[in-house]
Amino acid sequence: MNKQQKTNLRKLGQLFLLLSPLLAISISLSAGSLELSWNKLFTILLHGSGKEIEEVIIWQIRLPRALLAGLVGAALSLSGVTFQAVLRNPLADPYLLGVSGGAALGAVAALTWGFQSPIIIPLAAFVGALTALLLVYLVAQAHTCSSHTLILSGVMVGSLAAALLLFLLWQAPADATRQAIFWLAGNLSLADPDWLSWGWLWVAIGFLLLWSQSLNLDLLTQGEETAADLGLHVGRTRLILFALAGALTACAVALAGLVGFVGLVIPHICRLLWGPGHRLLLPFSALLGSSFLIIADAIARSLYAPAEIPVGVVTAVLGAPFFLYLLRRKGGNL
Amino acid sequence: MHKNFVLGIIFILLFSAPVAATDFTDAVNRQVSIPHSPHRVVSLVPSVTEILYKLGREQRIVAVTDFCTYPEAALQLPKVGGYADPSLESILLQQPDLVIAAADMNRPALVRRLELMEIPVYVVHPQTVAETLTTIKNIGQITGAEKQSQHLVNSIEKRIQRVQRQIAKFKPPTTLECVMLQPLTVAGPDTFIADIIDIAGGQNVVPKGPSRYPTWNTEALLTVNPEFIIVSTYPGQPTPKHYFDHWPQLQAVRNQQIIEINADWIHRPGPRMILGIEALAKALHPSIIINE
Amino acid sequence: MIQINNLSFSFATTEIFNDLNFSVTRGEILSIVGPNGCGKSTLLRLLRGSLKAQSGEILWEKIPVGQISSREMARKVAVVPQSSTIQFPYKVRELVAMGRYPHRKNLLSFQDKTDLREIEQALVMTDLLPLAERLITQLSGGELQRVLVARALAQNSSVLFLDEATSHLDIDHRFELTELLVRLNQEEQKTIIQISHDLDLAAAISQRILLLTEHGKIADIGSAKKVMTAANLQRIFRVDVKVESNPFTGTPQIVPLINTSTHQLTGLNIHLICGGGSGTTLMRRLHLAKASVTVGPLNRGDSDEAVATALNMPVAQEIPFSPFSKSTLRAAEQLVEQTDILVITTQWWGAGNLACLDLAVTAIKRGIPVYLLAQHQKQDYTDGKAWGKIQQLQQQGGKSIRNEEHLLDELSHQTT
Repeated sequence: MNKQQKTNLRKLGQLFLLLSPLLAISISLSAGSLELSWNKLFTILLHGSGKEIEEVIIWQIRLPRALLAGLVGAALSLSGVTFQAVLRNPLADPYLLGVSGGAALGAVAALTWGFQSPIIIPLAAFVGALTALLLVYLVAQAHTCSSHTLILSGVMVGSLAAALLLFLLWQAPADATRQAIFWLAGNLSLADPDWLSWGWLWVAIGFLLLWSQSLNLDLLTQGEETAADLGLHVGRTRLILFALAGALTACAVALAGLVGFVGLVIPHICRLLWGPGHRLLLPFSALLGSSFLIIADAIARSLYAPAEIPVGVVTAVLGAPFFLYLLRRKGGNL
Repeated sequence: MHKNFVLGIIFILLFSAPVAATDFTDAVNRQVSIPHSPHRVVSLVPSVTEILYKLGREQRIVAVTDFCTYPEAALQLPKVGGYADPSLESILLQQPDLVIAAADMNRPALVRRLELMEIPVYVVHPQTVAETLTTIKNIGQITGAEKQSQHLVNSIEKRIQRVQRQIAKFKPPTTLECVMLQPLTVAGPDTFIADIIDIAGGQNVVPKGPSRYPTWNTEALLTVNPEFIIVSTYPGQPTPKHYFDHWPQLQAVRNQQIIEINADWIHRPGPRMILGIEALAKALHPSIIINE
Repeated sequence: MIQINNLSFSFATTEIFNDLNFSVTRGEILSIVGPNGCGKSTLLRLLRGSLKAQSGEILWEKIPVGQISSREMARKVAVVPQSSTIQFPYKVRELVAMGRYPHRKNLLSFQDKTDLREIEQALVMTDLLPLAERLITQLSGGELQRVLVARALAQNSSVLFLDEATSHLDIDHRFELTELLVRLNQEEQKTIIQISHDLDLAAAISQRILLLTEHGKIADIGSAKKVMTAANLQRIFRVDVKVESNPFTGTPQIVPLINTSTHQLTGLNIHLICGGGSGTTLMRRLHLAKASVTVGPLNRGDSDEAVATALNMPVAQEIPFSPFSKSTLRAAEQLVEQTDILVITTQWWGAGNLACLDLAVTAIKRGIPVYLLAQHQKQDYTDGKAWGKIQQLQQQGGKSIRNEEHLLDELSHQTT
């Protein structure tokens, strides 16, 4: 393959990536317990004519859900890219720095204290996630510390939150416990559709702000000292990046619980395919992350329809082998 | 060597048991030697606690679990913890001469440890209405209340027969049973609830699948569109009205066939299951007559 | 250009620098040399303000370093670090482009015309153009080092800091880079401060050399001719060297006197009087030469005692922090009686170890040869008593030896 062909192939791949969320949404719209032919699907989408139940399922159930999956996938991937670059650790994911523990603790505390309102629980998770991150930041004195210290502090705060969580679950009534466990496993069916537009606005703003930090992220991958040598204000930049990635994760967690694997593997896949430069890596990860989660959710909903399997199972089963394949093909370098 | 040692202990246990003991086979095919008419019983199963009360054996119960909430008098008894993780120490402190456990709730390791301490453990495992009746009879036998248990079983069987006679002429309506609303968790076939629905003249719409209590989503609900939706959640869940009224497309919502039934009645394989059967049958077929 | 006044710095409780004073002139090449761990890299970080000194000041053209923003500083100074492990597979060109960061006008890329030109030039200067599209994770250590140099060049700063930047390079690229540095210095008047282990190369290109002692003090600063003397190098690096003039450039050239002869002392019994670490290297060398060594008297816990015990040498031991008792001295005397040769290391003499010299006096009377490694009057803290005994030993035939190398030579003659 000559250079020109290679570039063309690359361009084609990127075009495909740009269109992939649309493709994923159409797949998602056609998948579910109700059998719907593509023909029918397009008729409903374009002309709005169909049986009432079909229209309701497409417009009120499948579309909001696909949009939610896309939102969560994009938020987690963006946050994963950021944490992996700032911590310079390939194992970093959005939940590493105590975020998962904090969010879970917040949500479960709200559940066990008897709050049932669909507003309180996401808010509690959101606040919990950001509180944990802030705690890690303060404990590690993150404006000056090394990334190892940060990771260790994150793990410690996470363990503390997990311990409190266990205690809460232990002393909670059984019913709250059961619900909390489903929440912890990650679930795209619980979010209130009214939150969707706010969530998308949040993620869009988060993305734009992160994108403006592309070069800073590039510099940070070279280590704090080199970044400082090149003129980056490391402490301040880190704080900004943490706040942005934390806000994105908290948003995803509040809307869908702890959906695993997306935030870890999507950044790696994108880096293997398109290199580590964050100017492209951020938007590509967001696109691939949302398409990936939309399709994973479609599979989770339709594999044993009408029953639904946890989406985390699908993300891992799909993502892990693909990632390993790429890793081998690219010579095992992350 | 180790095996011989354990066998030896079991051997000694068998022969050193009180003379008045009788051997019984429990639901998981274990041989249990139980003293005649035991006086210090620990019940680790809420439904067994209910059975013991119903048989008039409540004075024999020395401790129950945190989940034994019925009858109310049971709340006053000493507690040994939850059913999944009762405290071994609290059980021993009661010096029981019989512990009753459930195969699907209590861990085998707990049973084994009690065994090693020479405490007879009788394991029950009722999964259907018929098996529950057998369990009632067995509990009667081991606690010296054979007559009372036979009586109880007869009365429940008679009430079931009356229901079944009346519903025989109806076509079973499609029925969905929700054990939890958020996330929507429903009772599949091969569950105690499914058996109750069947006996009460309903047709469970949940197909066989990898999970006995699968998670569903709204789309599945709309697609299947059952005639009746039974909600038997424990407290701490959104009210069924609040949850289902978003979806007027459901025929059960339009026809006001969202039915709430006390969760204990259809979840617990105990004497109150007949209340569940009767309430469900009445809801599905309003024309039938239930007289107490 | 850079003025360092009364600079003091310590990491936690370890003092690195105390009251350091020197200055860097615009347009010079200054090489910082010194033994490992003397704080050379720390000094560079202090100079560019990455570390804050506890006291003293660093002025860049009369402006305190703390008042210069990190971006402004990055436009003044480019740093070529010791190469580290690289995880993220950037392309060579992308990594070099990062050098444009302090000059960037665009939030998302370095596509400005000046940027592109500087990047291209940096690649050409470092002979990296053929590798520009390669991933840095696939480069050799030397290639990576050149990428780091290119990144610093792209920074287009007036000052260059190099922290052992040439140590990973093959000889051809090392010379090329050195030549490049000289050219940048002469043609573009770049000020270059480099840490170097290659003393010859440092001497060849530097206008001035800053020689640091092990304890972070300035041993000497000035032209290569002034600083690179055998005496200075012996004092700082504890090596024997000969400094010659490079026949082509006239700059000092260091000829190491590495002794390649091996010593064989099999069967020779040697008793060593040492203490406080003065016998550590000698014990190690005697052990390697297969001599049978006895040691003492020594207090338990003395670093020499630890070495002797580890090497299975018989030691006349005393309990820690006590003067030598009669019984210990007696034990030492028995060891001395059985030995062929007695060696006294260079050490401080006080009331505690004065008795050791008496052991030597007794030994020399018995006809046991005594060797004295360089002894100094200023190391005598016994009001001349020790120095008197040392002179007595020398009069009675005790041999003074300049250093351990000579001692080993002498001893090998004895065995053959």
